[in-house]
Amino acid sequence: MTATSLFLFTAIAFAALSPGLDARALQEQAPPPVAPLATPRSEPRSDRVARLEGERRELLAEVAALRSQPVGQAGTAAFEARIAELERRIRELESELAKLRADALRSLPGTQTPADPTGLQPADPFGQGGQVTAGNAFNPSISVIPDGVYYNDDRGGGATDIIGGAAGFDTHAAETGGHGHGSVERGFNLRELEVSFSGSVDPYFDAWAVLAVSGAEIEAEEAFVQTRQFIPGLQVKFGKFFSGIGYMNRQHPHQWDFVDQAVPYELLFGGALNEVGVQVNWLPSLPIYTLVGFEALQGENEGVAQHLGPDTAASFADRAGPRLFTGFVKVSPDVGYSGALQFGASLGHSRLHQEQHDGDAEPEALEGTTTFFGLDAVYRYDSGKQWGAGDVTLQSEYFRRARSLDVVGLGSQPVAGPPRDFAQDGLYAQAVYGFAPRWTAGFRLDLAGLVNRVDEAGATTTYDSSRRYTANVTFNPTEFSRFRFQYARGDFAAASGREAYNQVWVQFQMSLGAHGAHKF
Amino acid sequence: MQNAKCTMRMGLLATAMVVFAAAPPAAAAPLNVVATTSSMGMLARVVGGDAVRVTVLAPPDRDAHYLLAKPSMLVALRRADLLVAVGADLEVGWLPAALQSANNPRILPGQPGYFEGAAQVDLIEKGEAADRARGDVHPMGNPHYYMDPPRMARVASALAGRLAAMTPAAASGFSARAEAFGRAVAERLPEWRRQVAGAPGAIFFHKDANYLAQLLDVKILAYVEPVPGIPPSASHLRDLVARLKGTRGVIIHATFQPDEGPQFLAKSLGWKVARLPLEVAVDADAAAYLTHIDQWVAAIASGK
Repeated sequence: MTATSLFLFTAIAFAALSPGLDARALQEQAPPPVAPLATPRSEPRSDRVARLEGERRELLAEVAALRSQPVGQAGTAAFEARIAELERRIRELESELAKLRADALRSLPGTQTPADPTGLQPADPFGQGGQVTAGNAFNPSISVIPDGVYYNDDRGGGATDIIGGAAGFDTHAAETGGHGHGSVERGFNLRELEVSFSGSVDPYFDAWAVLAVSGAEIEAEEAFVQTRQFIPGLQVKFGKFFSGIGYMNRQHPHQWDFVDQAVPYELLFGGALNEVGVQVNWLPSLPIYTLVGFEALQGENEGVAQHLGPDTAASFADRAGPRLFTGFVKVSPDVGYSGALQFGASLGHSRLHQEQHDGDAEPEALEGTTTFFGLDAVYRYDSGKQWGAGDVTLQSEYFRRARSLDVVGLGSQPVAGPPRDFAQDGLYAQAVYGFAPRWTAGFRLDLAGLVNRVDEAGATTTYDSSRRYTANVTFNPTEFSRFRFQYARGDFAAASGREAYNQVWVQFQMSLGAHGAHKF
Repeated sequence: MQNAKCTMRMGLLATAMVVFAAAPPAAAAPLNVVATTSSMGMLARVVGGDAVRVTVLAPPDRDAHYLLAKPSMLVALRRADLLVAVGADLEVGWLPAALQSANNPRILPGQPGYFEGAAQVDLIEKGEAADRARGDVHPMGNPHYYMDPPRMARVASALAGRLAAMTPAAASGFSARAEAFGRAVAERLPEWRRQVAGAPGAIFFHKDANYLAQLLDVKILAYVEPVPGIPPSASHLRDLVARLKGTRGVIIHATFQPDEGPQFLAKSLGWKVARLPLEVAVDADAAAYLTHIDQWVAAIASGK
């Protein structure tokens, strides 16, 4: 049913793409055409406007002069007729001018280069419609962002595996014994090379493609198009993209204020919710910023909508997408020029989520549904000083995930095991302060598993919570380059008791090319 | 007629959408104009008069190069009929992102609702290499033309044309007010020239008053920044002192620019330092703009 309504919606939306709603409104405003004035048609529009304006001014002056005549002369029939004739002519001129202006508006030129060396010649009476920009012709804007780190920890390089092994979360990293997202070697690493392309496709669409190159792998991190001229307020995005849930979810690693991703994202979404699908967002014209969004996603993301299928275990179902649906709301009250405040709430439901757990002897296949919700809040203070001095960012997000899974297989044998209900949550809170021009200091607290339990056949197993403390100092020589020094201490609940670690990172990032601006 | 056809073709929901989207604005409602900076807001207010309602996105005490595309900006952009931008990539760090998220197709570049001042005038310092090793360069030209009153007058008359095309009923008011602004600038110009005549020149922090210097034939002796967008280093400041020791001039910097560098130069060279707003107040009128230029002229003249 959802798929049907989605299709119907898309069909309607495309039918409504017909251009020119505003143009039609403008045409309606223009008065009906009058008898053509006796003027050469070859005259440039701007000259013609100037000439008609001049004529109109003269006639207005003449009417004013006549009206200021002594009372005795006024009121005669001939006098009134003269004024009426002049006023008729003025009206004609005005409607002709209005028509010319409406024409000019419809035929605004594109990019242009003013030729006048002094900049002081009379202006084009319509105002040029072009944009002066360094954007390079028809090529997409390209940027390349290498993310290099030096890394070390006091657990023989195993600290990232300790995060992935947090008790109760059943992450991919735990299941496969390590090397999930964000795993690095001790020493120097080129974690990722982000190559992004963006530009407008045609009058209707903008497009982005972001490739993440790491080692020998190239991953299409994002590849989507987004509508430009839709129904005002409505925007549709489709392709592969970072979901609009939460605040940090759609940020690329180079936008993070810390070297690594927050623990709740790492443990609940395997890093981030990044899916193929459709997003529709609606920004109603309200005095307070309110954005509402819905997504229908294929449903392959680790942690919430993993789809392993019969190839992994015979007892796993194979179900057509979309299998994951999300919704989000963002509200931002205006707090003046010096601040920005935004609250968000997200909800998601997956129709199918499959996991494989290590059983006593053979791996267990679990299958069921997942529901999650999240709350986020961000406050940014802009001190107005240059190079970020005195700026403050406070940011926090909470996510809670519930998985209702059944054991459907043991090894290659289908079984009908008891249902297991998992509930886990995660929270992070961070503050970043610009303590000097171009320098920031950041502090972050990550908590995971404040709620951390499994209900199976009336019995509840609870797991301990995990936490991480992070501090960093960042130096941004310009907005295109960055050095970051980060220390973290983790204290995690593992299957065999608690595991602690200390980590240090030194990061260098830079942005090469026409890197676009970031959204809030 | 067209709506009737749509109804049959697209069904009930589509009709509702089209009717909603095509509902004409109330006849007397002022045009919603969003200006990126307070100078452009001043211009929109001066030219538009009662026919416009102006919202300014960037506060006057901030550097318009570096702003965050905040949700509150999106609220204004979402409701805008006309966007008046400085252009020439001054707002490139935040305006494109804001426009992408504002879900308002009327004000995208190329649409009648997008007006960029830089496209109306000729820019100086055009054609510099697009090489970031030279700092925060603007290959399309210096975007700070809002410090040049005659160029602003030209932008005003172009803006009058655009507003006239959008609300033809108020056309004569727009052009009359734009002309009045141009006349006020022309009347003040000789006095500015007289005041700065014989001034030895100025050190600016950034290339933000270059148009004014060119207009009034004032020599720019140096910049506090070693290259645009990079904070002054000690060696750069020492070089400047060595080069300018014993000469005369004045140091002028904008309120949001740090004053350590300018103060160091002032002390070492024995010059005066002036800290002035680069933008007019958010609700400024034409008189406030001319007074704002008066301040800069007086500061330049104080180097004599």
